[in-house]
Amino acid sequence: MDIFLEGLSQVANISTVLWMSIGSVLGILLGALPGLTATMGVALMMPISFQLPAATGIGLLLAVYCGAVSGASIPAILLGIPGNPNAIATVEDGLLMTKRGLAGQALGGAVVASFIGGIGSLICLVLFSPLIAKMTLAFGPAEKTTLALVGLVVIASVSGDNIWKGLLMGALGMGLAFLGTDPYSAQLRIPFARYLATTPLAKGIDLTSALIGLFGISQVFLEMRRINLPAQKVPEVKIDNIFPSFRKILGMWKIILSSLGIGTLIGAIPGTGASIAVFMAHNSAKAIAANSKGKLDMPGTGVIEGVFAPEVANNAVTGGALIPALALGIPGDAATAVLIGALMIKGVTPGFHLFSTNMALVYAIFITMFIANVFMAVFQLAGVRIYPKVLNVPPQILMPIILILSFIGAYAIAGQATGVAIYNMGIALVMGLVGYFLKRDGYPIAPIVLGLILGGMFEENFRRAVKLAGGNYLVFFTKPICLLFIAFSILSVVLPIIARRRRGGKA
Amino acid sequence: MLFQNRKPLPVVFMILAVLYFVYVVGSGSSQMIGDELGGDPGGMLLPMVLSIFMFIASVYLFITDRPAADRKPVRLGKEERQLFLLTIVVAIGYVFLSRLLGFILSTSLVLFSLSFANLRAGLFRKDCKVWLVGLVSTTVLILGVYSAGRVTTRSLLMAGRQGAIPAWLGSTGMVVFLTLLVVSALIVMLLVLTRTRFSVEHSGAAVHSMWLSAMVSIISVEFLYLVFRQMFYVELVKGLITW
Amino acid sequence: MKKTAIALLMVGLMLVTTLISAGGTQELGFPDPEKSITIVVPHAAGGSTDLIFRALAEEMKKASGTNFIVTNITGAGSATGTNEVINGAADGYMLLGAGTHTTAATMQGLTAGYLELDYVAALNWDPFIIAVRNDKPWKTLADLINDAKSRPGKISLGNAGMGGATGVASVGINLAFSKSFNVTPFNGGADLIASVLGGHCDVGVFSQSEVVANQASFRPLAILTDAHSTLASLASVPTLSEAGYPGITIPGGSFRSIMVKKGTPEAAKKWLADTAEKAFNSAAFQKFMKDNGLIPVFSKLAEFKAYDATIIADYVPILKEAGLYKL
Repeated sequence: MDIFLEGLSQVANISTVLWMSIGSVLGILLGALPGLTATMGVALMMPISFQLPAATGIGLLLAVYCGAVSGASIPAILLGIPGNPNAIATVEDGLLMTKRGLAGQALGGAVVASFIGGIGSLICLVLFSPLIAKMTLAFGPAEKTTLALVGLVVIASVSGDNIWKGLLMGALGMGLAFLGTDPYSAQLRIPFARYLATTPLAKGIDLTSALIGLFGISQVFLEMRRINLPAQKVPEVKIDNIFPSFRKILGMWKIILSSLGIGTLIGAIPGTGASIAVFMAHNSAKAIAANSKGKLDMPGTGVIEGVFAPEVANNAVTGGALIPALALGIPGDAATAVLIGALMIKGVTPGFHLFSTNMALVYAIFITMFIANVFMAVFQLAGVRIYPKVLNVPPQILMPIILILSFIGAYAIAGQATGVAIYNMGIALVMGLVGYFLKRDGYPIAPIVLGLILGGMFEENFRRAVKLAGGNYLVFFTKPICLLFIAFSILSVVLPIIARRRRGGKA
Repeated sequence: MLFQNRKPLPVVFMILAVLYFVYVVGSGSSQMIGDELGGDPGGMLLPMVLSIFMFIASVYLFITDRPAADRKPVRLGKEERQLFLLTIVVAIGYVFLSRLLGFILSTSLVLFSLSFANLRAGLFRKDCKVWLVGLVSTTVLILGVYSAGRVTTRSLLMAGRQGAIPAWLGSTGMVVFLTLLVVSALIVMLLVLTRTRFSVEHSGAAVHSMWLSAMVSIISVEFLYLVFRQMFYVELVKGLITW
Repeated sequence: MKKTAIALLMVGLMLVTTLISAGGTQELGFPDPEKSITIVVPHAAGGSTDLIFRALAEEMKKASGTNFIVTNITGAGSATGTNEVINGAADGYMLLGAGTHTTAATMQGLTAGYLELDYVAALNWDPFIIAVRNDKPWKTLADLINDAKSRPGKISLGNAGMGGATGVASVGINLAFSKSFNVTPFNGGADLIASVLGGHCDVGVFSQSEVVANQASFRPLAILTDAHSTLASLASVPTLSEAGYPGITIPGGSFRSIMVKKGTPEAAKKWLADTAEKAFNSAAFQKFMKDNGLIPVFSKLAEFKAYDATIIADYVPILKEAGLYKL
């Protein structure tokens, strides 16, 4: 209880409330604007969170994250264009409801659903993450090595259409993480060390700058394709009756529970993410409605059930994705990967150690997650008539601002040292261009991020495990947990390949 | 031809893998020092394995990954290509010149130019004059707004130090807040005074775009300065503006 | 045309302020009230070094009214954070949380370290303690050494990172006992604690404060300083000579100090040293040191420089013997 109060005291201050309100509104706006994603919002806010105390900074990022996931429903409902992939499954029923004149109820229902999903998954997070963290006490260097391997391989195999692309991207991320100083022996690891040792290159690639480039700058270049498209005009719709009746919500309990379960579970599996969960939730809602003997309306026909299911699910992903992120240091999706990065910059390494020595911060994170969901609901309902107007802001104005924000963010991370700061801007620009070409050709970005984050953990623990075993490389095959993880990694590479062969064979 | 109907990225990755291999070999093994017993695999092993894996994976992708025949690659139009190049050139210039010009000048000029080009949806010779006028007026206006903010900040801090005003009024947070008020008031006045004069109806699309870009750039730059420099003490380079 | 007139007037006014501010940038002296002073701690947040500097920064803030920020820049032992200070400006706004880790990293050639730094203030020593998990079979240091000698390379001896002072100490111990341990670096003190608690590493060289925090599960075998711990709970831990191994010279603890980049103006250094002295002598910081068993050794500027020379002189032979000396 004392520790809980200590955690509470870390967030119970005006600065936290203020920054989280700003984060929430910004998140909703980012979510509502097509082309700007939740991950990008979190990445762009990282430099600011870096300047704040740990709990406040994470609270800001969580507020942006939750807001952006929920805000994506606004254009999905009004225009039929999802603000980001979180809302793809909301489009079908949302747009039909708008056409039927029920836009207000769809928008309000989406907020209520997001809130339920967020809070429900938060409960799962509070219940399960300490348990999982406790299990990892037994993890030594060998286990940590294979755990990092699982994280890398799973995300490589589920993201993108081609597992080889995913693996290649994971390797690229790890390769970037290996640049600079050798973290294990504390020796320089660069060629021409005599000349390069005092340059920022010796530090390697700054994680934040790389993330800002990959998610912020690359998007600026991608959006140029739309520069000549006519601007989307939001139709004049009446927004009233925004609250779905309490009875209606209670009547949908089965849909809510199943969507919540799907969202949390999918979120907790590294690399899967909301875009899968929302379709599964929508389908499951159809099945439930079909069995409800007419008590529930059929999703897909422009009804609130069809908005509720995906909107519960996508916000449930947020809490779900945080479970492995906090307990194991393995992020559930790209946005939580950025969150982990923000924690690591603060000197906080997720995993067992965080739970055993800094439980106050863990509680503080739980509390800010709760506040983030409350703020998301309050601000999105309060501004339900205002946000649609934001959709009329031309992207032409936004994109240069985002480019500059990215640069300033990369610069600000180095704080006082201007030389390193300008080097970081260079990293952000290069990674932005890399990200642009990769995204354009269908290469997944998430494995690069995982490689960057887990590369160091993998290498350090690999070498430590081998060293502890006196130079024996087979040490990874002598421990049951390691064997389990290795088997899991192999399966997640082999299964998709077999599945594709099968499909290919039939066609 | 071998390279026809293939995507260029796997080739890039092959080259990258080879370069990375060379880099790794050039870096040396970075073995743990003071290791009497041995057993440290050294810092070269994993990166080397990685570079070999990257090479194999990119060769595999080069052979198997062909663009789907039914999907046309997204081609950028002439204007978009120009804009793309402009953004890259401006961004590179920004990275290298920001130290010389200073944060305020370089950022506002870059932001103005990019917004303007974006709003005009491309680069056109006929916009050149308007663009130049915009550059000059953005510079003048940002200097004015920035200096007003600086005078406020400095005099409040000085007064706080000499005890001329109560301590809470001279505290950092309060000073930032008051500076923000002064600067916002200036900007709002600017907006109100110029809005009708530069409307699309009154002065045409090009001039309106110039006005909008200038305002966007002034507001963003001053706001970023207040947040990062004054609130978070990030050392933004001063460059040509020495005060 | 009234509006145009107002607009012109405004532009005029702004130009005037521009001229005023351009002409009137008088120096406010050190420290500039618009700037905060950053203390770069080259170790992770939450570790013993970090906690000491955070406590000191708090008191320095109170003593001076200037804003002090602690940033953790980890990596390469302590070299990354040290290089950050060396690469920064010599204006006194960036301090290094220095100490024996800086000495060790400099001698190992990981950073230009103390060769490029100026002395501000020496703070305190945190003694090192050799400890094992309390269910391990070794009751005394002699038990451990004998076991290690009987099966060389089988017992692992962990340190908090090769660049730092515990790294040098563990290498020193290993050399003193015929290289029979498997010396393994971990990612900071916290990682080492978790690994020894989890049974993945047998023996660890810890800072005293780390042992205090985990006293329920650790068995301390020896303290590496010449004197006993000033903490009641660890006062009975024997020194190396009492444990039966006299005459071994290894770094006995980690020393913490404040340094700045070489070339920082004298006035700034003096202001910083005086502020550090006030903070050091504050009741809160004195209590903090007492509670954590830290041994105070305050000195500033030239006096500190002379003191550090003795530490460097002590370190050179150990590092040379271990083959770590690269200067």
